[in-house]
Amino acid sequence: MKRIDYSSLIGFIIGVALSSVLVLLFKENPGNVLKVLSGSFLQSKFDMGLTMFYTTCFAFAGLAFSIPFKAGLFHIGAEGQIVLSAMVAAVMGIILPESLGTFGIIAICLTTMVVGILSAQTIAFFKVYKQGHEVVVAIMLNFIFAAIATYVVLQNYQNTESQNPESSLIKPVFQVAKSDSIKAYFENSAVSGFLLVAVISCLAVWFFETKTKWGLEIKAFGENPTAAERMGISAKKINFLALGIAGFFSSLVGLTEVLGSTYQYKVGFSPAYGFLGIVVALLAQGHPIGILFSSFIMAVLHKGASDLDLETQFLTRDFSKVLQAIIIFCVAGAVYINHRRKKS
Amino acid sequence: MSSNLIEFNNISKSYGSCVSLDQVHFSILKNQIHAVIGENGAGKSTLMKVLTGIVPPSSGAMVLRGKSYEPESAQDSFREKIGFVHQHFQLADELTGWNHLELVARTQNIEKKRLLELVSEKQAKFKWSLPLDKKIKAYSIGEQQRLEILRVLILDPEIIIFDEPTAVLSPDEIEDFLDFMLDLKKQGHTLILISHKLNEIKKVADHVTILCRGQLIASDSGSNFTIEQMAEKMIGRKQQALVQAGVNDTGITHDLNLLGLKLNNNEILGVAGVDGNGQEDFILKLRQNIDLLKLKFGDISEDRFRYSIYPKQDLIENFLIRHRNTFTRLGLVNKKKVRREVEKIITDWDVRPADSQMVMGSFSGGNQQKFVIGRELWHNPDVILAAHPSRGVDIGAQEKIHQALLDQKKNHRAVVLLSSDLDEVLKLSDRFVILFKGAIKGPYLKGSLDNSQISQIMNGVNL
Repeated sequence: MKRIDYSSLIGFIIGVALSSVLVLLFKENPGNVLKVLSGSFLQSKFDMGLTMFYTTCFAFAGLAFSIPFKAGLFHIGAEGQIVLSAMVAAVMGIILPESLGTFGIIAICLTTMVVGILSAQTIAFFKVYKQGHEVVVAIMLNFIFAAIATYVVLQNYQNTESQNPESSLIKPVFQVAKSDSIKAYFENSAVSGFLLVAVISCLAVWFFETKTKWGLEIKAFGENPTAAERMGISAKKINFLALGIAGFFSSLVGLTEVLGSTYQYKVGFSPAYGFLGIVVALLAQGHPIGILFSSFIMAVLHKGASDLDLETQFLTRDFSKVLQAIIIFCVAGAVYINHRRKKS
Repeated sequence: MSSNLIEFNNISKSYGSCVSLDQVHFSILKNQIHAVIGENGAGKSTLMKVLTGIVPPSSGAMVLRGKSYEPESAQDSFREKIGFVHQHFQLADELTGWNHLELVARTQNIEKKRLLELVSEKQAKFKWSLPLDKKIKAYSIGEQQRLEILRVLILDPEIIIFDEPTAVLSPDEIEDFLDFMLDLKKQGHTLILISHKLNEIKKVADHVTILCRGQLIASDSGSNFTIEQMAEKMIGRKQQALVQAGVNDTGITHDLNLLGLKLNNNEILGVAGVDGNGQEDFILKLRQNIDLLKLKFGDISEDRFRYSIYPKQDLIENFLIRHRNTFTRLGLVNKKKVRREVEKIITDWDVRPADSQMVMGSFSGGNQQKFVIGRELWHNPDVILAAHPSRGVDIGAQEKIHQALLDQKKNHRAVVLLSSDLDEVLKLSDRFVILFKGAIKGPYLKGSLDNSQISQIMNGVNL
């Protein structure tokens, strides 16, 4: 009998409760804060669109964590891959000639995806050939990729009309999301057709994990690597495959940002999508369809958090990060404890 | 006349809806060797857990030395002078033997001086000379077991429980061990022996209690049972005789390339030897060479948990991942077909419960093993490795496994049977080799050596 595991939900609730206590200490009304946190996305279609944009990014980032996780890898390198691929998308959009039209967009997408995949497989390379631990390698690569992205953009493609560290806009022909019907419906909010891609991705991953040979191999390897290797599943293949897929989804976050929302690379555009993706995946217990829902929940919270300093007297935007961290901590902790308990 | 030392009065224990012990009622007499036998899942371990306070009974009561006995933890059972020598040694490789004894002494507030006295006294009593200043990794299996026993003995227990003590020993060591048990009895200890090696039980046990599916089948003086009767009562039916295949000469020979070892496709080649004498390496080389020869391979691995199963996945997935290439078209797997095959294995091998969608980890060890063997024989492999195929399974399943290996031989398959249970090797194989410190001795023809010769080879004597 398979029993439903509620540990992540319980962790989520504990996290919200602890946050409320903290809010009380700051002399704010937790009810009000919760209302802001959960309700701000309903204020307008524009707000809803912003939430949907976050949902898109979180879903991709969640998938980028959950697939390596099934292979027994703790992948915290998505953040670096996202930043790097967004930079590549922006640079490609700037340098490709307008005459390419639709082909230009395809070229941007493909290049960005390849960069995403390769940047993630760098982790696999170090793990397989140099026995590096994936967590350590990924952390270091996060810094390295972010530094490379910032360097390239500021040195060569800085937007001359802005004082912010950001690239110039991609060529107008490549800004197709502007005529996107999803975007139009949400009053030209950040959301775009990538929302649809995210939904399809989650379904596709679910199909991949249950119905394909590679999906089964990843799952088997993650659960019992010694048995999997004895049955002819090579560790090398699984590491490169799982991280490659993760890098692919990381690159989609970059594309969502650059092609679907801002049409440029802004240094620091990511509110740590890569790390929030970990929570999204854990909250959904790695289930691809669940990731769709948990990324929506996280998006609602994220959107609400950004409104906190407007709606409350003492709380600031930074405080919302504290709240998010508490919730992340509780969810991860609950899943971990439950996991340990089952083992023993 | 001995008196009742322990009485089990209608002890029942159930986990949820699963009844593990059902109204078990018997007593253990003072100063006897009392064997508790039964198949896997018969309730032996649960009964011992109840006795040592690790789990409480659901109903029923125990009486110890005429007084009501309700242990709440393992500590309570220590205090009541009950010692437990576990089947799986609980020793730390990097610590010395002496370290382990000190740890026990510390929990029981025994001073160092007293501990030294106790240890030398016990060692002298049994003429042991354990190298206590050496690290555990330098110990032989027999020495590790003695250390485990010594740990229990320094607490001076009246009652000692041995759980499958001879499973890891070579034939000589088993003889020594049985003598040791008789010695302990002579010194006034009461011993509870859990085992399914019936010939050993026949030799030493004064009293035999037989459990089957949580129920007490019989509890009587050992002399009232023959080995066959014990086996019959344990499995609830008569044992079936193995059907031997006639040896035919149309065999194909696979060159195993293991120091000139060749394997015919109508034989069972036994590989005997005490654990830790190069079995791992032997299996690795065997697998590599089978790969090179591109033969179909049935892999009943030496360690089910490490190499054969995925506990959190259901039987269908456990089957599918092993035979994935057969059921994949264009990268997609066909689960419906797999399900039919899995259900066939479940029926053929009587895997219980018969649920192809239950996760592997929820099955008992014996049922897991039956399923693994069914899966490994499913594709009619050319060469079959059967490493410890009946380790941890009950007699009924063991019978089935042995018959299956013989059937494979009849169908022109080559079987390599590696086992630390010498009886198993001798019973089934046509030829056998003995591993000692990584070297392959033999092959010997079945029946060409007697037990003491085999035992000598297993211990490194060159005949």
